[in-house]
Amino acid sequence: MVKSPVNLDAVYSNNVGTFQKIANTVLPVKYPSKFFEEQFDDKANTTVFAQLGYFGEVAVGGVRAELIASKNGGVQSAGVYIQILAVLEAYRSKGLGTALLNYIEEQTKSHYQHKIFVHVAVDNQEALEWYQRKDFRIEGDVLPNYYKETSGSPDAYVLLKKV
Amino acid sequence: MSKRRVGATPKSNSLPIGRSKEDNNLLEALKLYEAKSYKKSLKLVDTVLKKNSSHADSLALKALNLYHTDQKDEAAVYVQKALAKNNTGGPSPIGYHILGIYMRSEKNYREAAKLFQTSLDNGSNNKQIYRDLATLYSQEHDYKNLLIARKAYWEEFMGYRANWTSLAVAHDLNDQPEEGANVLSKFEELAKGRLGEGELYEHNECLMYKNDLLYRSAGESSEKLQRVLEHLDEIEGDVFDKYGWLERRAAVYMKLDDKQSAARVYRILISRNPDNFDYYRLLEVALGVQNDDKLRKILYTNLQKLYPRAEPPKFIPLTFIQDEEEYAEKLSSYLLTQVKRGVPATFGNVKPLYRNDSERAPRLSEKIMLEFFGTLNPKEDPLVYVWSSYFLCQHYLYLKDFTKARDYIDRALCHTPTLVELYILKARVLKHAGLLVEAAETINEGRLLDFQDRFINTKTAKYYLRANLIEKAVEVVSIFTKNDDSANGVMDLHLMEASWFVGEQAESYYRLYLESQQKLVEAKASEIPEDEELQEERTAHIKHLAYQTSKYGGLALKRLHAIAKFYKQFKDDQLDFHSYCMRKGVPRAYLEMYQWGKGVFILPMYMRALKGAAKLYFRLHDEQLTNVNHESESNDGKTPVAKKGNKKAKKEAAAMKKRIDEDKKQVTALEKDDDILGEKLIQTKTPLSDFTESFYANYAELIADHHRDYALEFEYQLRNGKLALALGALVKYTDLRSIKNSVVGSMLLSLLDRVQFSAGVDEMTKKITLKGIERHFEFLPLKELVNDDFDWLKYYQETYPEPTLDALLLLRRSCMRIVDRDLIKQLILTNLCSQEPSVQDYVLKYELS
Repeated sequence: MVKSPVNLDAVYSNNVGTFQKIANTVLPVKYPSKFFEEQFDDKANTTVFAQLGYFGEVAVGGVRAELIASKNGGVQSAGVYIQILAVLEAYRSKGLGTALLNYIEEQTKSHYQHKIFVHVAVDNQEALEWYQRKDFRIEGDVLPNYYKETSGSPDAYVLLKKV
Repeated sequence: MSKRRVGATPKSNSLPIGRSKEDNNLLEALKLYEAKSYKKSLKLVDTVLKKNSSHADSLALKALNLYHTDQKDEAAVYVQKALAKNNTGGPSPIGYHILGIYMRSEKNYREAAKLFQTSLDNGSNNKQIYRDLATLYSQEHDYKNLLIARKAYWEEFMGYRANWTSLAVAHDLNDQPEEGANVLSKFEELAKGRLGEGELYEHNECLMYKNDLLYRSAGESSEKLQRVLEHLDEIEGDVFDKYGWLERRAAVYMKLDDKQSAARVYRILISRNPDNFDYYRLLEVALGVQNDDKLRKILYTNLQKLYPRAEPPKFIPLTFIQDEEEYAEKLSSYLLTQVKRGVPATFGNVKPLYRNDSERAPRLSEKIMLEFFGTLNPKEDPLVYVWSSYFLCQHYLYLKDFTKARDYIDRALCHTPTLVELYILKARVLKHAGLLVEAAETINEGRLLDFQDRFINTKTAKYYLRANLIEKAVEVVSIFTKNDDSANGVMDLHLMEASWFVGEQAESYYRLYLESQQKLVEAKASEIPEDEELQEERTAHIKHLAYQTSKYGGLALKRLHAIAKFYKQFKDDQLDFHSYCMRKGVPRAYLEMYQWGKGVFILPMYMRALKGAAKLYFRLHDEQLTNVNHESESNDGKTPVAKKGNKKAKKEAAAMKKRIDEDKKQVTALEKDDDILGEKLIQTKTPLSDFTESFYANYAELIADHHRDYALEFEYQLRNGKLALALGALVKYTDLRSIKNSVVGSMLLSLLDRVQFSAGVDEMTKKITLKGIERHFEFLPLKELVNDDFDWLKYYQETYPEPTLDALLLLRRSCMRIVDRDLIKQLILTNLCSQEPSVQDYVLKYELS
């Protein structure tokens, strides 16, 4: 049996630069370094799920999601919110995105959550189709001016998947 | 059997029975010294000296104690005192021994050996001295005395295997391999059946060493070679180094002209390690096919079937196949299998072919790879695509087609921006294009991807240094160093003897030195403004530049000296191994190290430091010559406007001091350093002898004639005023190259320049030199020397129509008057057009300034 070239591994403070490079190459939105370093800040009281996706031995994709506590302050959480999910263009359709999403779904389940959210720019047709193939559904109306520093459209849809 | 004794140098009781009170006290003090109670020992010695200030032994011990309590200068004084007592009774054998130990601590091994020897000659019965003596003779490569000392020690202490091994090695070094083998045999007999398990490794090494000795003593005698084979059979079961055993066996067969057996052994070796190129070459020779390409081809086709995963059977045919079609086919399968597997080193693997087959290999490989690249879909086989562009970039970089190289690396980076190798390669391309800062920034971008990657960390530091961005380099490199008590990693890198960093930093400081010196000259030449405030500004600016220049020059020398020190340390550090390796029973490894040790001062990094130091010291020397008359001018920097209010001056001085302190903190390289910025080094009045003492002497002593850098020697002797020696170097240089070499022409003109115009050389030397030139270079129109109108530069151009850049630079550096230096500059500029951008840049910035 041939070993699959697709592998996942955690993001570490030493290679977060790679993650940043992937995000900023693929996404029209520019994230500052601070955003990426935040993950390793012990004081920040958040639960973050992040992985790098490797093709062969090269990191070509990554995901980062956050556990969102419920707004009314109860023990229940609202769900898991995907902040970044990106795969370098040349490495798409090779199962990396699916692997990364599966990871998030597993994390969601193991944290007793049932909802996964994601924002997608309205003009990002490829991503919209991809998420919908993965059983995400558009939730509610368009959020106008959601993205600040972006080279694409500033408006976004919210997509939701129930697991 | 072989109990091992560890270090230390005990002194036995070698004084006559009716010893004096002083001697009794001395023995007490010695015991304290041995227990490392230096202060107590010192106290005791002092009480002796109070009563008898000329007791030589006590003086010696006092020196040694002072040495160990960090009072080295005082120690030296007492050593002299002790030695001066030579005629009035002098030190006892013990005293000489103590002095010898002192000299050894001072790393003055020759003197130490002498003193140890004197101690023995004067009747010391402390036989341990022989062992120390032997290590010193080993260190000094005095083989004759080494053998004597080893023998004497062995006779005293036969119970230790180490002493037998040492004796054999000493015989070996004296070209007596047979005696050496006999010594080892005798020990084997004695030790038979009494070796414990822990000694088996030592035993195996000694057996193989004995075989080495037998092999070396056999020469061409087939009878003796048979004996070597028999010995191999005898020891087979006890030897762990199977490769060594087999290689020796094959070598003996080759010497015996039993090629069939040799070939059989080489095939065994290949089956053990099919990736060792040497075995294949030797197999060819054993089979007698090395000149028959047809048979070689068959051989390698078969070997490839036997070892499908091995590299040599695939590669070697590429080095001899003549038929172009066949070659292309082989090359194509060689390249494509690797690229498809994503082997990063593919280009590195074929680079030897590019070098040896400089037309065909690059041409065909380019064709193959471009064709293949054209068929690739970047999305279907992303990794193959990336590694192919990586290969093509390296290919074009090798051919110096920087535009195409950049094109391919940019494609790869755009495609996969997360691959560190790509950034390294892109930085290399930019570096060759002369864009040093961009190169450093690019590689730093790669570094940010993975902080754990030490390789790219050091590479980044190096690129920053090349771009003269020293602070950034230090910041980056300090991530991986130990920075406990210092501001950054510079001190740790010195402690770790990281010559790669220290050397690059030296070169970086040197470039900055040249830059700020240039600015200083310009600033001094600028017009003095009328306005008082502007005047002050100008003065401050000049002061600042003068400080910068001195700082950078000083630091450049400081770092170069550090490298010289590292290598001196490498040499000195061998001292412990002369006994350690024997105790460990690794004579073969020891001899390998011993041979290596002979060449520490010609290792590449030392040579680089040597040449760097030569450049800077020669420059200082030349400047001193031209500046003698302008000495008074150098005070120009000081305020021409009279001291205007002490307050302001004080404030300025305080600011300056603060700045210097801050600088010092950043560049401190050694503990307890009283010349952190190298100010003393750069302010030298004797640059040439500084250079000789710290760099050149070590090198000149070691270097074999055919390795000598005669161009360097020429420039050195020229400045030394030793024109005859310079001529000697020139003649040797000509012998090694050719009389048509343009560097020879440049040297000749430089020499004539000195003969004709140098005031510092006496007439006799000039005449001898001229005669020598006449004899060795008959074609020179020497009679024109009296003709002031003769155009030597024109003559040079006619004789050497295509001078190399090095030749022109040498001409400009060393000729003062015989040719017009501005005209040479023109020639250099013309020559630069055909050079790589990075070279152009360097020469314009740093050689022509």
